Amino acid sequence: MTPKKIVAITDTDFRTTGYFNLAMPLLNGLGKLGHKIWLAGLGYKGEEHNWNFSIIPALDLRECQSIVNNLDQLEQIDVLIVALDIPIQKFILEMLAQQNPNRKFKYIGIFPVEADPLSFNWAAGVINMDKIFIISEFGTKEAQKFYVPAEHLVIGMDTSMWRPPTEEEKLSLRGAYGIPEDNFVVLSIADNNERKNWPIMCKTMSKVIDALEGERKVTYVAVSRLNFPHGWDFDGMGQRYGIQNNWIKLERGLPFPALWGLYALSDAYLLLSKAEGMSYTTLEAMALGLPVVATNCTAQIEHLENNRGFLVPYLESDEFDFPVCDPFGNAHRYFANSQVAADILVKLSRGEITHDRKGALAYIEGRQWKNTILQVHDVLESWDNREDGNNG
Amino acid sequence: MVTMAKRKKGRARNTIINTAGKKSSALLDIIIPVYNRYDLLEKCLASIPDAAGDIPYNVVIVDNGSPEYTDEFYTRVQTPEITLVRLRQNIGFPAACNIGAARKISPLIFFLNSDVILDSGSIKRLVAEMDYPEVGVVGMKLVFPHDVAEYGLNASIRVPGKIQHIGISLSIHTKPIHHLMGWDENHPKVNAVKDVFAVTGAALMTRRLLWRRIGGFDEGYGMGTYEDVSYCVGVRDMRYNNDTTYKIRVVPEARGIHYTGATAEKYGIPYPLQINHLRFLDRHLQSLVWDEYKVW
Repeated sequence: MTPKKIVAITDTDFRTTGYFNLAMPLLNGLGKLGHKIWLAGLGYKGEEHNWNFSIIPALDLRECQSIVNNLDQLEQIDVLIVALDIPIQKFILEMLAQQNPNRKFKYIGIFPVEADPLSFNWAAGVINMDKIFIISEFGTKEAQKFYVPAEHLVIGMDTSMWRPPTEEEKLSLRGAYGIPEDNFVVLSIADNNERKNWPIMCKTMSKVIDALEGERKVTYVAVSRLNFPHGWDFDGMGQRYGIQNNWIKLERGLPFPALWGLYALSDAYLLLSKAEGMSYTTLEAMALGLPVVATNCTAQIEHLENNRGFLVPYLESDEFDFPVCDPFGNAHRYFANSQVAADILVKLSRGEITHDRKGALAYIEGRQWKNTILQVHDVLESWDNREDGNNG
Repeated sequence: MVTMAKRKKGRARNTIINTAGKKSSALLDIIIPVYNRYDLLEKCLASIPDAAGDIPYNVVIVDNGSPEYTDEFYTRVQTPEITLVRLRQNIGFPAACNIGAARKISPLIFFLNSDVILDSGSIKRLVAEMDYPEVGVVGMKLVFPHDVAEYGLNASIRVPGKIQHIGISLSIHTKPIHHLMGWDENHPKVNAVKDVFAVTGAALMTRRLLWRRIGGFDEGYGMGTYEDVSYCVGVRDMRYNNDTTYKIRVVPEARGIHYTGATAEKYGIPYPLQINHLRFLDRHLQSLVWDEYKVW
């Protein structure tokens, strides 16, 4: 195998994002296999790290493009790996076509398809990649409907870190947060954008609190961008849905021990987003043995079907006067039924239903990073020489 | 004995030279420009003997018109190795360094900031690196101190014990940057740094031969900033032999503590960063190659 010289572009916000969690273990693993890797890190500010590849600060995509061009001239790179949303991938491909039309390096795109249907323009845009990895089975099938030759990249989980807590750990963590032992604790972790549908989750929790009134106290733990200028106002939402006294709000960017601790002290995980490209937090919750209550749509289905979790039906779009779609790609949006979600949580609290915890943990155990890395490595191996990249 | 030196064309008026030190066959001249901050200067001077070991050296202190100057201080710290050059006004870091370097003739020159405290053996280690003839400039590992607050400095921008300098590389914006600043000093990436784009003038050792050929620090940089990087680019442009140019090297095993901007912060000295960047680009654009990717 000839080690490849690889440049990667992805989001490198050290407060961690989905792409960050996906790219770092992957690139680290490829580095351990002998490939030389430079990452043009969007948002990277020079923070110390221990990965075995270089992260070069890049303010924006134009800087990333300059870094790629410079490295291609100085080092004659073999592969460019881009792990970003489809529209950004399209932008990068267009820049490459303009500035580097005769590129010798291959292009690997890694991205989610959040919702169906895949936009025709997006499908036409990504087909120029030399290799397309989509991070969910759902997204891969959607892409294949448009004859996009995509492969499902099964994203791994570090199951040595993401493990179920012991009962002692759970109680100890509750004590640390001041949460009584017998409270029913529900956790939600999601960014503060419309797709994550926080109002529905707050409405759901409001119904749960009412249903368990006098029976069991409820605590709702929420992790999000609390102070982001665009998006839901959490304090306002709490007051509007009457849950202000029941929830603990935390800013995203928590270090791993704190994040693990939040999952560990919870009884259930709630994510009623309108669409999900893969949902790392769902996998994390499953890894800790939590029952996950999520909208029955997109990538959530492949994680939670077969009773590995609880899939909440969505309201049909015929019930609206206008077609429900996402203006960013024209895909569908799925609005979960908050009453059904609340009923599921109440039954979980009462012990009337359970999920297939063993099956969920086995599903997670089957997702190992070494397999993810080998999937990409196999593609690199199949490209023995620095050949002409796909130019159209 | 105090003598009045002949005023050279373009120099500040009334330059007083107080030559208490005797000439010697030293290997190294240590040039320390200073503007007040005698508290840190005293610590700096005290660290030199241990840092140099058995290396014969001279020290030239160029007092850059310090308003707080006292004969008492310099009498107290006086040693046979020290020569004091006292200027009546602050003529900036580059010019002060040039004046100091011109006072002696040793084959190696070491420019040292008065707020750098050297570790034991650090100078000796730098001198050892100059045994490699292709090396034109060497710098050292500098870390932030733990006691900045005691010296009235802002601790939030000086992370205690972390890297302040381990070489300078050129960013994608053609700006010299202190790569790996804030990293742990024992990190493998930090200690793997070797040949770099430039080193800081806070602790910069070079060959007098190269210094003369380039003409010293460019005094067009005024109060300072960019003169050290500009000098390093000049050295890099010079051919060592048919196959290679001179190297700029950083030696992680040579370590010091740098209080960083102690003078500027306390006395509000305005360094002309933007203007100096433009001057730097004007002089060196053709020589610049993006290289930060080698260290990150």
